[in-house]
Amino acid sequence: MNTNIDKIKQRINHYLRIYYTRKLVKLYKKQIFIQNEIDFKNEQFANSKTPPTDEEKNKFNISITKQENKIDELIAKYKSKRDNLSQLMIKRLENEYIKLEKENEAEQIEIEGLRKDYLKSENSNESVLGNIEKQIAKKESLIAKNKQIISIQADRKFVEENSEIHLSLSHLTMNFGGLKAVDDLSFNVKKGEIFGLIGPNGAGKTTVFNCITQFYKPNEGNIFFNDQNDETNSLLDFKVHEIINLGIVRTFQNVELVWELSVLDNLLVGAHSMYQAGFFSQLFHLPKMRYEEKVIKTKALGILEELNLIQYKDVLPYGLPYGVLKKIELARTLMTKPNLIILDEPAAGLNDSETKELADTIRSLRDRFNLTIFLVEHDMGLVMDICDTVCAISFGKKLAIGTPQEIQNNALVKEAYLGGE
Amino acid sequence: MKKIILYLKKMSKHPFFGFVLFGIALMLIPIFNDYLSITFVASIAKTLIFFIVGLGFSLLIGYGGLASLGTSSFIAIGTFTIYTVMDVLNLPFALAFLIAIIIALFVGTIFGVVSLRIEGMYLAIVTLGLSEIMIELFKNFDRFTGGVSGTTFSVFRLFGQNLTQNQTFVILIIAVVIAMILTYNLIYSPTGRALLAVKNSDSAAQAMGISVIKYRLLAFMVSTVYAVIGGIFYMAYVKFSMGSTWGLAVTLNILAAVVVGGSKSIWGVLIGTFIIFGLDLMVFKEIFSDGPLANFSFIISGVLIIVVIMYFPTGIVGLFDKLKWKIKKKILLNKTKKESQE
Repeated sequence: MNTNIDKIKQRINHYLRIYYTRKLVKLYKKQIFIQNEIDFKNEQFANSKTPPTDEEKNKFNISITKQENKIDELIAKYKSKRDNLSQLMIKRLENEYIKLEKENEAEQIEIEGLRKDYLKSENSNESVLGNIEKQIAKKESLIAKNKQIISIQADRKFVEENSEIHLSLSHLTMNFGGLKAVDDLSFNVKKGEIFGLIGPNGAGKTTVFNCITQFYKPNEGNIFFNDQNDETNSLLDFKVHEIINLGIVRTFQNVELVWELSVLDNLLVGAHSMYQAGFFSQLFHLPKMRYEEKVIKTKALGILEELNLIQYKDVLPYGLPYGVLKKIELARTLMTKPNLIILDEPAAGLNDSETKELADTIRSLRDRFNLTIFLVEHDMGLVMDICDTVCAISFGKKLAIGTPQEIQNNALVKEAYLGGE
Repeated sequence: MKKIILYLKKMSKHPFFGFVLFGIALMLIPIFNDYLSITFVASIAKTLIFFIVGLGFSLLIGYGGLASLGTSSFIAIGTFTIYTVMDVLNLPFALAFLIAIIIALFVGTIFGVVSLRIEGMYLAIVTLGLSEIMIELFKNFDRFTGGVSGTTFSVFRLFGQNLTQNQTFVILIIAVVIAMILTYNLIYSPTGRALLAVKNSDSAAQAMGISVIKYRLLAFMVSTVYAVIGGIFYMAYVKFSMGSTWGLAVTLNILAAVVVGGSKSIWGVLIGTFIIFGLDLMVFKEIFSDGPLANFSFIISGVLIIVVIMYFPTGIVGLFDKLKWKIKKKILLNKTKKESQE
């Protein structure tokens, strides 16, 4: 009875913690919006014919600080609540892991006992031997599972302590029926690097992407992410459309723009998570919604200008050259001020000169906006050119991870790409 | 005087200018009511009612990309709710309106939940099934719907006053203008863009932080509310509703109107409804009231649908846009020619 109540309590705490985390993430989003607001007002002041009076500036500054203080207060409130809950969770988990370790030890002893039996009864009939073998295999798999759980927890601690790690996959496994698309994959992506994931066709690269962005829920393992405030989140706690609030944006293999909207409107779609105006304020175009629209439009125009796309702003994307479309998609990812961009085959379908331009764009974006970039690519030239770290996978398993030179000289990678002897 | 002209010029660029102008033009009908035939006014009123329903439906199919065949049952809900609340229970209109909206939201949610699981043709089939179930229910709830033989509405009361047909028509025109403005607002807001993004590719939409569940439900709810309001006006003006009227034919006619006119344009929906419903009610039924040609409009609209879907996928409004571009291009070319000659 008591254990049941405990379990229910644990569940409630779990969901409460996720609820508070989501609230926090939304508040961080509001902070970003306020930064946009400041940029917008500065531009307005700079462009206005009559220079702004100090009074106007002061009025704006006061309103901004008021908002900021309000958000800070809320953040502090939710943070303390969330942290209490996560401490409880960590304590509970630690106890559980100690239990698991003890269980493992006991199982190990039992296995040794069984092995001895096996040796003793070597002369008896096969069914007895088979039975013992089965028991040993069962226990060993249990031990492996427990070890995996413990190691995932260790990874979480590691990520929490090392803030330079941005994204960490821990024992990620994804099955489709009997097929293991991703098999026990673990690696870390550091902040500010360009990380390339390569592998032959069908190696499970896109599945890894879809697991990170929660299009698929992985069967085993976990994914940890350090956000802009160095807080460690498990991505599994979020829904697909909430991932962008953490600062993770992705592009798609084939360009996925809204063809019926102009390029500028496409960028506004990319900033959808920034809007806070409710349904009724949108239905009646209330001042709040119009103001938000203005702020976000100025930001979109700024980004278009930066990527030399400003001449396309009122054009429908349908029929534009492929290189431009890819660039528009990149521009769209920048709308929400992300810190991790996931690019799915950015160079697919581009010619050599366009690929070169893309490489320059990616590098300059990384430096300019302080981004981490994680990409899947078939174009080895591009990968070896721009990536700081490369991870090679084959059939869902990690082959090697290291600098591009190391990967190029790795025997396993060569075998996977060119076939064995 | 100059100031007024300047102001009008400025106003004419505002998108709502056209809507208000359309409303003012319609106001001529109740003003000159005495010189017009009753059936002609009634057919315009019916067309306007279906225009309101069509606006909601265009949000659903043009923006949400959700093919639903349940529209007529939503109208039926509106008609029977207002009858039940005002005539059977003797409650004021405001309450009837509120109850109708709540029922619309509830029914819209049910249809929306269905759309989360299935798409395209299959969604159309399931919504058709649901609406047929509702119509069967209406036929069997005698007390509230009059059963198979239908029910007549006594009088439309608003704020304690009994309204004449003419006054109801004025209110209908105001509602039409408001519906046009609200639809415009919704289309050019984050919600409209999000709906288009979901229609285009739901995985891309989700990656951009758009919740597919939220926007599919929203699209269904909004379209249901429009249809129910259409139903309320139908009962207030036509004063008769019967369960079997609201079959598949009405739904398909509304679908045809939206597709023929242009599913993503307010003016397109207006043109579509006037072609599909107006042609039938105002021209053929008027001229050949009992002759063999009375139902000839269905043949015309059938041919129109085929032609529009094959050659003008953006609807008749797309044709106008093309013409506009061609004229603009010609003017520009002429200008450059003149300049080069000089």
